[in-house]
Amino acid sequence: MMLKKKYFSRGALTVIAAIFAITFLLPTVLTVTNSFMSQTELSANYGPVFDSLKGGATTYVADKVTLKFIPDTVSFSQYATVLFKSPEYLLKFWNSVILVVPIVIGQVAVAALAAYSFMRYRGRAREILFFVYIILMLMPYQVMLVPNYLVADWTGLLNTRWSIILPGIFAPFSVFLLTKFMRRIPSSLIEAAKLDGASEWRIFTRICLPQCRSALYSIAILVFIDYWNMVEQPIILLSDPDKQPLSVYLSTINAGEVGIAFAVAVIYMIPSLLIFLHGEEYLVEGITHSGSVKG
Amino acid sequence: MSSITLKNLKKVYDGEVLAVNGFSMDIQDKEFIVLVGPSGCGKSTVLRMIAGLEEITEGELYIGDKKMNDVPPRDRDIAMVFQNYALYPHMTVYKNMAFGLENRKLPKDQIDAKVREAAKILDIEDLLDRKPKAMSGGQRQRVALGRAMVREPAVFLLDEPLSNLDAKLRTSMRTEIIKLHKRLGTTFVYVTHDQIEAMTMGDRIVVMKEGVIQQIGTPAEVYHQPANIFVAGFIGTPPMNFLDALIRHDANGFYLELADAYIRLPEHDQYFTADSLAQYVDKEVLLGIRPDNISISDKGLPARVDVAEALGGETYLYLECCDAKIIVKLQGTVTKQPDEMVNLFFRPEHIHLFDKESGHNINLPLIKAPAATLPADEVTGNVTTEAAGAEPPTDLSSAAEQLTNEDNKKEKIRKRLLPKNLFPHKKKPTKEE
Repeated sequence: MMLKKKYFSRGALTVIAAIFAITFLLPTVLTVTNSFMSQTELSANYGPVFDSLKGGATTYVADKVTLKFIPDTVSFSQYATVLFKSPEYLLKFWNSVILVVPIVIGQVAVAALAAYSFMRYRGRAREILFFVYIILMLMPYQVMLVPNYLVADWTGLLNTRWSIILPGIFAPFSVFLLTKFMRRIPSSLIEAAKLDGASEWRIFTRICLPQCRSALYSIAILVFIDYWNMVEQPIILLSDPDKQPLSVYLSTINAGEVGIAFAVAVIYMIPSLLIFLHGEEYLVEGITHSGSVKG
Repeated sequence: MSSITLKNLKKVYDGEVLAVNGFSMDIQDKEFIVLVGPSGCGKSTVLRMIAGLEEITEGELYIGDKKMNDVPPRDRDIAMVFQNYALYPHMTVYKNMAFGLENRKLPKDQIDAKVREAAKILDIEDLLDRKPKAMSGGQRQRVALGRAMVREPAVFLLDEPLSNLDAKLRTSMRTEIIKLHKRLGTTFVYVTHDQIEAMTMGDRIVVMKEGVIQQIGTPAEVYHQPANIFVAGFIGTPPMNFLDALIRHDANGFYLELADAYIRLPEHDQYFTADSLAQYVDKEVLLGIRPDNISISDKGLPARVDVAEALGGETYLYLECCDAKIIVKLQGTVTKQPDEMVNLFFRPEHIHLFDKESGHNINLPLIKAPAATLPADEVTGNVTTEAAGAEPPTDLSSAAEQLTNEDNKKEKIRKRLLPKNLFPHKKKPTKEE
């Protein structure tokens, strides 16, 4: 038996992996630990970091930064400020929730129905339509922003949440992913259900969907993370700052509010993290079995 | 009443691939019909057309008296067992079996009673809370049968249900399915490519090739009276041997001329008639004979041993004879070395002659009663014929002297059935003096 030549020893590989892991984790750890520092300690470490520009935007002005991971004293004052004294942060958080949750639910529902149709019905039209979906999926979102803006303006949805929710619901990526997954379901199962007297709706809900649970979870997680972090769409389509989500509002934090920025960032991360942790297993299975990743 | 009538069924895929052509037959109520044939012969397509899973391109399908061409599968009162069982993987065995009944809005207590009764019959009561992935192939097979059973359908359709099981389990499940058929008293249509399953399970067998029925008959009919070369070669393990031959005629009657031997043909109503053979005189035909209808003799067709496979209870000899490859199945353990020469005795009453062009069995219409052809297992035995090169025997008594095991009861039966002048010869038979 031929042995594969090893370029790195196991120990060296571990060190390299550890360096990568630390590099990726460092900002997150810094954010979490610094969110528990008092404003005084943060000012001592970072000095003035941001300054407000005339247009209301912020700019990075710090000339000396001392990275410190462990707070001298643990303080919850930043969280108290965010949660109890600054309602605008909670409002932005809520804005994010009411934008993202309908998109996730809607996109999963639409994708499931569309994928079922792509799986069940054969013919040339199906192949052409699926090809169009793939093309659309390959386009970067920025390409679609201008048409989305024009359509939203034409339909009178501009500056309403629907201008973001509707394009979000009908996204091609989820349809593609779920179609690939559903095509793995043996046709004999569908046929057995037909012979068992099940209607098309019952086959969809009782036979097909339960078997796509991992793919549905994967899609929900990916869509949630994608739209939870959206910036371009709300900036372009929502001119009213009161409707903008937390992801946009984070960038408008003023000088002297670094501590609050850390606390908001931690709060902002929590939903994504919880959803990921809850569906991690399904995410891997769903993506692998959809053919997106070679299993 | 669950008879099935198929009238000239035709299935064309994508407007160009002809999967089934002109399939017509009547399946009686409570009959066990086996569709058998090689892969791609259209047997599963026929089954799926009966199930309603494939549209019928042409023809008519009746279940009972009702035309079913456009009736959706759920309204056909049929149940199907799939090759891969098609159990719903996310449901327990109980849920799998109950699903069809729930769809029909049966009360829960009735569903429960039916599921538990079927589980008891199939001995899967302990598995009701398990999911399919936690079961063996045989258990899944039982669940698939149970799911079909609880519906109490008019017709059971089974699409190669044993093909995923190992040989031992397949044998036991075969018996289970036969018992189940008797117990349920329902019409069964069973698809398989395994001719052993076909022979052992079916009341009647439908042999198919390239979408066309080759023969419909009982297992014995299909085995002993194959309609054509395809059926003769497909049914039977090992397959039938085929040799090129010329039909000749002389004063003694008809005989076959092989590469280096002659075989006198029996002129008997039960085998061949002058009328059937006359039109083939001096024409090439294909001689077919099953491996268990050939025996080793002191005299007869010379053959060279290629390989001898001793399986314990029987021995397969792979031989070269008359420019053809021949397989001989002998009872018991027979030791033969490669390149050893042996003489073969063809039991003439088991010789089949096929038209080389059409492939049809020349003597098929003449075979009248099963008694004319003894079942294969009754005529196999170590029969020895006279030494090669001797004058051909002209009557039955002299032929009988060739037998060394005179006390063999089965051989006596065979002899009684044999007409005169039936044995293979090295020399061309001479005119009777």
